[in-house]
Amino acid sequence: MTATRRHGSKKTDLHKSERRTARLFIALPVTGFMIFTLFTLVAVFVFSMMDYNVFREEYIFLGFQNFVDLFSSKIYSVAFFRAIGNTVFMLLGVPIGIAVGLALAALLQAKAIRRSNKLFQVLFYLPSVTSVVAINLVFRYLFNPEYGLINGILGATVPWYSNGWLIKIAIIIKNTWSGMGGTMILCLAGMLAIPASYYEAADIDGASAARKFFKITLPLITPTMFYMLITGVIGGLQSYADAQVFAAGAPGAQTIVYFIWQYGINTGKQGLASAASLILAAFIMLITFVQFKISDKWVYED
Amino acid sequence: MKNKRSTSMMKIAALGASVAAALSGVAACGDTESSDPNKITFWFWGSPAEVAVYEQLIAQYEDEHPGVTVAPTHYESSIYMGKFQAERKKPDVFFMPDTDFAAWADAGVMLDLDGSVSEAELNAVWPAAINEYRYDAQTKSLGSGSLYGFPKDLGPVCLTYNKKLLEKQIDKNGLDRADVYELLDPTDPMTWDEFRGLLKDLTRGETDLYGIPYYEMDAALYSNAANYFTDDASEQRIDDNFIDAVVFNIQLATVDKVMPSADMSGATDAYTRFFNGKTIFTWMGPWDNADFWNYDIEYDICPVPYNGKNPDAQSVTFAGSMCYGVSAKTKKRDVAVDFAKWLSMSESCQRKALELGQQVPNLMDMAKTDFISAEWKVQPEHRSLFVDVIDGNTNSIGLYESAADDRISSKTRPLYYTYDGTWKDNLLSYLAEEDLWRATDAALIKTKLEAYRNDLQNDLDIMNERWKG
Repeated sequence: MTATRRHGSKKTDLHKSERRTARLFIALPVTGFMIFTLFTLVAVFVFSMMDYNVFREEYIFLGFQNFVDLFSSKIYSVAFFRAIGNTVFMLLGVPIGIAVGLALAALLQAKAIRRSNKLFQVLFYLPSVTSVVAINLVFRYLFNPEYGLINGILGATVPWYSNGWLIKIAIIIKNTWSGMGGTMILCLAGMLAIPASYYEAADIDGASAARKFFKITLPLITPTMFYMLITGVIGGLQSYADAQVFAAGAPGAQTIVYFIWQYGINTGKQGLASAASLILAAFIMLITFVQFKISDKWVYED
Repeated sequence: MKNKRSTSMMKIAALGASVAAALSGVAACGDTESSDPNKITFWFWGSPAEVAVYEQLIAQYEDEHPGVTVAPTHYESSIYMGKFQAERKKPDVFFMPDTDFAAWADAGVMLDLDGSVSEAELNAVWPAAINEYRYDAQTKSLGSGSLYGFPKDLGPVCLTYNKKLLEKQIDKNGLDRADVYELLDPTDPMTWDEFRGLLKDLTRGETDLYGIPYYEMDAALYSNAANYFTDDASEQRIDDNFIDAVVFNIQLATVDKVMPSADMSGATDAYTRFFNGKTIFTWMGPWDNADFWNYDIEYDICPVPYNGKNPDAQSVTFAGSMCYGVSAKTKKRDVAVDFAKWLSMSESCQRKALELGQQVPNLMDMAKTDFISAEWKVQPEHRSLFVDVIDGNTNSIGLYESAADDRISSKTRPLYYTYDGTWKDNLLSYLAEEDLWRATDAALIKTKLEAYRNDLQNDLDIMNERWKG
């Protein structure tokens, strides 16, 4: 009994100590969250109710007028809805990028090229370690309507920059190329985690390579694909460099974050930009929530 | 079980990413204060050539003022005002463009410099440049009241042309050189019709060559006796003159095809086109010389064209300008004011800036002698045009026999007269949204512009309410 009590006491002490350490560990991210997310969220909500005079550093309370302007003003609503439309359309690049990454990963798993697997991994991953600005600038030259290589190959003067649809397609092509390395590595990691015994059993049953891919590989890496989809959609909704660097502010490529920058930083309408930020944050939350809700229908869980 | 945990981890990671993605902010932080009483901070922008110029100017100032150190910070022009706005402790000395001057002078951010400069010093500088940076905080009016900035320059923007390319196209199209150069006479501005006719003649049959990369809207408006608003920016002025100027601008691309279309205009910037020989004309201010001299190109300048059908119209371009402001909260007032004044008015700095191709000197005597001296073998040959445009209709520097003949002048940019630029951003957005840059029909453009009158007036009213209460 004594021994048990002594043992129990030690355990309690240990738990206390562990608890203290755990709290310290937790304190750091919680503090960061409080300052950089929660406080910012509250501040942005307050700003969204104001017209901020950046010169005099004065605030005028407007209530929900900034939100009303976003949806009804002749100028702002057109720009805001266009930004939403552009951003959502360019999200098409996310599933396309995942599909390309998946295809590359599957190819790298093929026996024929497994020997040079590492080399291809490095080559395909190179865009992922390249500066986003550099990629945007290089692709801007490639898609230049007058002197670009792509129009040179096509033998036509395709107005990539000024046509609202073409510029979005150009951005999707660019983003697919620049993101394929990252998605490939994640898919590859997911594939390598699949027990070999599953494939061995399928081989015994005489399953074809395609059947193995669609019945074993694809279902078992759906958690990885779900992760890529969530982070890809969030990244896509926060897209900025495409609009700023690649499209140089062309209306057809202006995204929601570009809209926030344009009005919040460039033209000093911080209240309007804050309102747009809140709507974007709510939109991200909603999309993520929906994705989680429907994930049960397609994401594999053992 | 392992798979389930892995799945959960993926979900948790995804959820974490979604929460962390909520919002983002931008904070700017720069070296704006030093404990050394003789070390001041200085913010500016400019092209690489202009950065090199300022490095030399600062070195010269430090040589002339032993013990004083100037810590410069350079930003791209497109982000400069954003950085300035975000910086709570403003730099001791800074660039302040004319377009933003009113709001910052009104906010009390800029030091009142009236007591820091003598009458004699002021009298040596272009009066227009000095008056541009006066502001009366009581009446909220520009051009009078206290001096809040020492002018950096007064830079009239003129047309410039690539001489070799021009002559090649003259010969190729069977034109007469004397006739063309007569049109480019710096004392006799072209009319709009002459200009568009010239560009069409020069680019006949060309698919890869333009006459001009874009047309400055302010120059088109001013040269048709038009403006966005009345002089006090209280009433919109979308009248027939305004509409004609916009139509002229748009139709250069859509009807005359001498300017890149809306589809192509953003493909290549104006100077790249110009230096690559893809356009014969472009726009330049005196500060561009520093860059132009670095290229193997022969160029000259001519006045902006005006609407010859409008009896009230003359060749009036816009004069870009900036001032050197001093922070109202600087703790190194004397050194900061001295440096700003030295940049603006000292003979040694102005001479250096002149030699480096930075500007028309602020000192009138130097501008009227050294800058236009034939002894000074630099381009552009007709650089006296810059000086004459600054001098406006008040005097003649030698281009004309008398002031009465002087038909070229300049005016400050429209944004100078307003508290912020929302009205212009919204107008440009409207032109883009309505696809007017692709319009060929003058009647359609007129209808669309007339339909925007109330919106422009509304923007001006909001702007004036924020400014003047």
